[in-house]
Amino acid sequence: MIARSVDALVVGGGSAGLAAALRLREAGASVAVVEREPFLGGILLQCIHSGFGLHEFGEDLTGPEYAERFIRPALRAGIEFYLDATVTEIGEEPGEGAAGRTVIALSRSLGVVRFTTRAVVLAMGCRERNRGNVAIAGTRPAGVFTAGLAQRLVNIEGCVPGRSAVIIGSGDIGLIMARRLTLVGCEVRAVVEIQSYPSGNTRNIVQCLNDYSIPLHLGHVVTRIEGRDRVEAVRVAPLSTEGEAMTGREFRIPCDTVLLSVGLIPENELSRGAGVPINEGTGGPWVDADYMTGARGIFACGNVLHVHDLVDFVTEEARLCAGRAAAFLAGAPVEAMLPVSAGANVRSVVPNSCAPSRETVFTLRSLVVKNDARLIVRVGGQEVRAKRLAHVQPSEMIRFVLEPGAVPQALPGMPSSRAAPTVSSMEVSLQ
Amino acid sequence: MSAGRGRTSAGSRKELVCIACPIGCRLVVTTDASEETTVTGNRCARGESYGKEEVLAPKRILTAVVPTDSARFPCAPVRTDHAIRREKAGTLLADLYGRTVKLPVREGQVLIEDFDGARVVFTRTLPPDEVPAVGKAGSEPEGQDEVTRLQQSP
Amino acid sequence: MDTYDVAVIGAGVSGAAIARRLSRYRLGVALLERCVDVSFGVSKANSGIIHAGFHHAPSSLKAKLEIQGNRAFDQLQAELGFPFRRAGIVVAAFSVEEMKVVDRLYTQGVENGAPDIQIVGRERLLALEPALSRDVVGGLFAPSGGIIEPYRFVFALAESAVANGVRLLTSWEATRAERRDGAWRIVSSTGQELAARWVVNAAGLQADQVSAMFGAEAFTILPRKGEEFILDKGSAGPPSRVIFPVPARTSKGVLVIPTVEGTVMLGPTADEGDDKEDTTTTPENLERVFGLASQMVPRISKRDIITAFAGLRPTLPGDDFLIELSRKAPAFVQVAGIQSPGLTASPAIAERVKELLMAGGLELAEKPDWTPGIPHVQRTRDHAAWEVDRLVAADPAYGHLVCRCEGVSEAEVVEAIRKGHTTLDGIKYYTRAGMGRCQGGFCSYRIMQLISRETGLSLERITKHGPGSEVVRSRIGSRV
Repeated sequence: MIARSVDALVVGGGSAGLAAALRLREAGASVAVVEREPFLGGILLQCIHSGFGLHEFGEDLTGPEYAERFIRPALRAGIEFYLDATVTEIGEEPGEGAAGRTVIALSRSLGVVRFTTRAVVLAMGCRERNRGNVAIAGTRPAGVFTAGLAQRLVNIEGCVPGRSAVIIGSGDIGLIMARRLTLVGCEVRAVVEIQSYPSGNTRNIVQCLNDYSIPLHLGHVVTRIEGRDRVEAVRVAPLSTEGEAMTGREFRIPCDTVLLSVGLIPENELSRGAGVPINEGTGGPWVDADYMTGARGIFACGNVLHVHDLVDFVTEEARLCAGRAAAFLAGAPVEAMLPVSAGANVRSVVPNSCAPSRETVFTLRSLVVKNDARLIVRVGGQEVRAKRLAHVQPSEMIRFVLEPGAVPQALPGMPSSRAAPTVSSMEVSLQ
Repeated sequence: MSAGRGRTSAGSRKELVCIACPIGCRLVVTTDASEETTVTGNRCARGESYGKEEVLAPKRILTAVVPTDSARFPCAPVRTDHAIRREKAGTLLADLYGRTVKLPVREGQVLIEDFDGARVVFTRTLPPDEVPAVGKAGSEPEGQDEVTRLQQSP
Repeated sequence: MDTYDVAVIGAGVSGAAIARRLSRYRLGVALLERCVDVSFGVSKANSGIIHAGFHHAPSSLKAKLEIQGNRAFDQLQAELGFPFRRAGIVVAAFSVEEMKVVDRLYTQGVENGAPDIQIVGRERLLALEPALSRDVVGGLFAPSGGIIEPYRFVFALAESAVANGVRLLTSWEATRAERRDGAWRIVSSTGQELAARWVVNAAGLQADQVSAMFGAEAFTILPRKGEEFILDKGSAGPPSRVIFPVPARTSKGVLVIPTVEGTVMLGPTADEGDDKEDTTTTPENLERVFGLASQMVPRISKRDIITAFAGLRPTLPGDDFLIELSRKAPAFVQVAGIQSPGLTASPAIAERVKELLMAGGLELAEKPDWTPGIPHVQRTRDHAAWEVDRLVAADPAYGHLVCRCEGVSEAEVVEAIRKGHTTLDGIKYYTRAGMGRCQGGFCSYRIMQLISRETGLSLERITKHGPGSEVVRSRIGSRV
């Protein structure tokens, strides 16, 4: 067992973890990053398609290229990296006079590593919803993959998963994989989407489906998977207006592969174990304007906090989070914060409080599609800021910056936002 | 909603959604007998050029993985640095899949100097650059006394 | 051609228990299994319950063997190290009529000799199991009931049998048999042959076909499908006892089972069918099971479901076990219709088969060096941090977590592979890798890499559960 003492410990060496670690090093903190893969970069490494970095770098990069932009400086920044290592436990809040919180990690080369750290940055990302979560009936043959697993098998392990596939879910991951499978010689017979509109963005619809004439069945559901040892077919049925599968109109699509692109779940088992309160709406921790969770000294950013669409926003969020963690380490005074809640047509908003004296970058998602929407920020019922948005849809995260001083006066608030919204709290809505 | 597929026949009309920016104007692209194309429904010049190109000579950035000689890193990701004509993608893929790249390669390293006006480059450094080992410059594990203390049952 | 004293056909819980029991004697024993791994038939897809002995009439073979078998599990666990816990069974009644059935079960249990079985009123029942609905009026409590991981039990039985000299032949499907020169000549589907003086038919769903193959009694095994649904470890309000409703005519009902691994299992259903390969799960049964289960345990939620599976009970008319010497075929023992409580009864089934063989004339000379135990598997997740350090010092692979959801280390996966479990399912059942929240999303490719490294199999030849279930089709760049 080895013991290490560091100012900050970052759990995860992907896009969020790397940006956070770099920012913390910039602030002079000693930083350890624990990453379970044998290399840095996280999920970006298997996202070999382009579209990353348009905001961050003004360039159209592939995932690995985007990752490299952070890996290179990170390797020279004096960060301690623990690769092929898994954090197994984040300990309780340290008592009075204690040097820091204990974090246990398990590493092939070092055995048990016991960290003592004053700030933990959660950057574990998310996992995929799987077949069990969506309860698809039928048999359990080989050939059923979540889209991310299939992506890993293709783009990193160099395998062709099957000869013909049906993809469940028209989110961006499913669409990207529709193209990727086609390019490696696996025919994609259909993409099946339960909503009446595709959830991925238009560029992907065009370049991943239309380019290859892949049929998109909107308002349909896969009712069962067939095949004893390997997938042989799926059955698909249209959904009624009440959302029931109309089995009388079921049809069969022969295929040997099924990909599931049915959602992502922030990976917060470690966080729960550490007593971090989780917002069941986002699946991630409640965080205040410092991106600090309800557990003192534990911060969260990236997909573990809430599922992002653009890695550029992950990078920004990680930097902001790490900046506040650095301030925490330096003993900066805690500012008054205003709780922020989700108003009409807002599914979730992060962070969950706002420090009026600072700039706040909010990210939020709508509940339904709306054209010509107004993003309205109200405090105590009064409209404080409004912005027109031509088009909002649930699958596209919205970024909104509230400048310092936008709230007329700093109201005495609570350091965290887990209390129920009161008249003097802030509400963001999309109407 | 469908994109144009390769060259249109003379005197045809295609409807497509512009993807140059998030607005997504619905474009109508008409081609007359002398292959003059006209774009309507766009709000800006980018939309006009997207519409024309998409119908006359649609281009795409191609990303793919190429087999390597390494068991640990069996394939290397590559990209075209510029968009190439869509109908050329199959040829490029066949070329790539027939290769066995020898590692190491560096991100940005050129694999093919010119394919339809674009370079094909590697997008990842493989094997990845080594991270400094814990115990080397700048990070010493704590001494033996720490280890002894921690061997007691928690 | 290899000649054995006894060939046991079928390496499910019955066959593996029988083989281990016989391995105590100076006998050449072959354990034949048609699948690529043991426990891949009925024994991997069931509720994992060690029953307490009140469900079956005292006159039935099931009742006798259930009680006898139940008693054996503490010692078996000490010897073989599979996960097992005497969590206790409660039967919950929701009406006066149901209490009458409970009364009958109680009387039956007492007559069968179920240890410490109690009939309890509402308050006591809720104290025993607080997750129950407040609508219960009373029920039964059988403290000797328990939960196990059935496949780990079967793997351990088979390992112990092999360690004591039994020859395990997997991917060996008997297709033809003839009696010649005082022995059975058995031919496999791949043309391999062996001879055995005695044959034990423990072939589960195929017991009727095997019986016919040997010219023994004609009977028909009808599959009765049971669908089961698994809820995540962190799910709301898990019970601590196995919860039964008052039983239906042909089945014990839909149960709420706290598994020994920490998940919650709901089921099984009971649907008659005729397809021995139909292990589909259905949306209708999902609704039905959740409806019934949440009546008993209100906090159950569909949101927590992580996977579902179905098993097939090999049933005989009359629903009792058939364990006897064949009257038609010489030197042939029938072990058929082993549905619930087969898992519980398996040690007693093995005992009974040994008695039958002895009565039939097989000489049983004890081996002085028979070893009951097998080395217990070291699992990273079972150890405190400072203990893990010692494991890692001996083998660094214990410090490398492959399955993050279940905390399974590379060393454990490698051990499973080296013991012959070279399919994703086999490794899953042996180590639990792939059974957690993410259902293999994160660890599948790592396990495939380990299988490839250890066995030399290229990735496209690795299967989920045997030939035909290859996980990926080919490598990029090769002919698709």
